[in-house]
Amino acid sequence: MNSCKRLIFIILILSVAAFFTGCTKDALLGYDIFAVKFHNDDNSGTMPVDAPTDTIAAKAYAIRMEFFGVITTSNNGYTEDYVQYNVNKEPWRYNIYSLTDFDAAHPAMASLQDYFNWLGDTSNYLVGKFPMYGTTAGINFPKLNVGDTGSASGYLLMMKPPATLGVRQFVVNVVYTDSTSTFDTITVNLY
Amino acid sequence: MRLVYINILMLQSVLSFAQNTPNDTPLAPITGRHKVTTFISYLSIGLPILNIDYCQPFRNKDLLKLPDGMGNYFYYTRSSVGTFLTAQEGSFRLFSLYYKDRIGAEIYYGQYGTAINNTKFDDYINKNYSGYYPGAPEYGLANWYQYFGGFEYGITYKVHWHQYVFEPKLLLGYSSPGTYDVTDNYGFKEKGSNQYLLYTVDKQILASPAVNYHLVMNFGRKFTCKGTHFAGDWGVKCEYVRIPYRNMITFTQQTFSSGTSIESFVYKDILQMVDAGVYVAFSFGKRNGPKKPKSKVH
Repeated sequence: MNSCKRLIFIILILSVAAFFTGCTKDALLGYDIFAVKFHNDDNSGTMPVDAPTDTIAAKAYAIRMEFFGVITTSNNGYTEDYVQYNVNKEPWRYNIYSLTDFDAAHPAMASLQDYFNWLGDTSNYLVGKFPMYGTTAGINFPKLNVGDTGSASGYLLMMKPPATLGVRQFVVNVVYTDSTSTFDTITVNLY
Repeated sequence: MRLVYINILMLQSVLSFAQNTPNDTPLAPITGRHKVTTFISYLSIGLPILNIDYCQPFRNKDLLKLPDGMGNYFYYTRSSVGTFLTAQEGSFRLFSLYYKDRIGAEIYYGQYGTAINNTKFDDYINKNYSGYYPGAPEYGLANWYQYFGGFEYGITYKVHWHQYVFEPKLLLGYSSPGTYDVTDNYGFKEKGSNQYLLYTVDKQILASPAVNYHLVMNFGRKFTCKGTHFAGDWGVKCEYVRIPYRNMITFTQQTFSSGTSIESFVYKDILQMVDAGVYVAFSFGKRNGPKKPKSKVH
């Protein structure tokens, strides 16, 4: 009987120890997206890659959107194994235009959202319509101190080629959650 | 011939039951006057049977009716080994009640299933979409596993011969499908372009629960625990399982250029298998042993 009680006592001690070791403190970091950079990509392979030149096949043209973030707030006592992020400032609205006529239905500066898809996950081929709202790639920061920066990428896929090929300029508009916005122009030679 | 022999044994057993004879031997002659024994002394309770068996599923030829030759690739069942612990193949006797250690009524809980090897279907899909890069590995699923689980009720009859026992059983049960409703997703990317293709295969059982039939043959050697009413037998078992059910399979192909196309097929499927293995069965009650010679009084 005594040995049975001893066994139950040991099991209880082990259970309590397992409970407390399972409770680890999470890090909660806040960061801002402060810039977005655009790259010409070639998506003729399994996933988009940055094109060595700006001359790309129209049916495989993709725009890589590289988001840059900076850590602005941090709690104390975090463990690096469990990190939670809170995006304080992030892109909220997007749009994309061509500076010249794209086709008959899309004159210059008309929205081309119908023709672009968003490739969110290159490993699972999760493709969706490019949204007007709230698309941000998650950033894994190499360091976790306030002021550290990191970047992540998402891809805009052009699903329909323009009526005329050749050199074309696209304008991408990004509006952030604090109502600030940026415009950037990217030039590509489509064939 | 064996069936006739079994029937004769069964008839004799029923007659001996009617006359309440204390002599348990199946082939004992029913003559003369006998001491009246209480009914309960003839009952024995069967405790759980422990199984370790090898399961070999049959291939359903009806699947060849699926379009585009998919049946050739789709359901390639494979064998497996099960135990009463995993309960993935074979059943677990919960309870049984034997009269005179011969006629029994049993309750089982069983799970029957077969693994479906998707490799050939993956090859088939990849061959069909040769202009695409193969599906992303995390998006397509691994091998399917389908099984049915539920209670089964059966009758059994034991034939005793010296230290051996031969026990045919007939079980009938109602099974519910396990985690069966499965959707497999394949993602393909066209070579040289931005076009992606999502291919989904969805399987769904239309009728639940499904009726299942079992024919079981046990052949074992008896043992007893001296000084107690515990006894049992161990030996080999062979079981045939048949579970017919209706299945619906839906293929969905989605591209951003041509939209979505959906095809559905309803067909009758049969999960059939045989398994063979070893078993140990325990019981509590009056054991029907070999006939003892009568002692002569000089």
